Amino acid sequence: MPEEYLNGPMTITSIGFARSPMGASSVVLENFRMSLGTAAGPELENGFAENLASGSTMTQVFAGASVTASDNGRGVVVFSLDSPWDYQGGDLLIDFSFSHISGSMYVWSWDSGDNLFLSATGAAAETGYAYSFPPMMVIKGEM
Amino acid sequence: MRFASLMLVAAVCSALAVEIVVGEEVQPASEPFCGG
Repeated sequence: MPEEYLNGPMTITSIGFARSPMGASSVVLENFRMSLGTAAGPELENGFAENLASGSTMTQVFAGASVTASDNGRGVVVFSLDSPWDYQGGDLLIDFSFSHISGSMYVWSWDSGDNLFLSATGAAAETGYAYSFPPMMVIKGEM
Repeated sequence: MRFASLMLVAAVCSALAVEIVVGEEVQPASEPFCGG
């Protein structure tokens, strides 16, 4: 995919995942939470906390006890943030978790070459497995 | 389940609204939305 890198700040209003036509088109996520922050470096390490840039904090931008996540009909599962988040530049760190999911939803993944995705079992896991096959994502906002 | 993703962002933008697409349609994967 042709890419132009964005270096300027923006206000993020939604984060979505590109869904592939497999599995469920809608799932229910329990205790779903999403937070945004600035990453410590260009690749993820296996410890969640060590991926946050020194001196910065994660900001919770979306939360729900029972969240229905559905394909919007255009192949994207969108989470509209509870409050917009100001991206100030740098590498964007997205942290999200849930305690249970009603089924399996498939998303498009791609080979990033670098470890851009960290996965763990358990919503409160402190460490996981970083690898280079992150989900394709759609981030919307205003510049 | 818990996940983190690091975005090296790419953008296609208009005057104010911006939609950033990160990645491409390479392979379907159940993570991060796996379970049952």
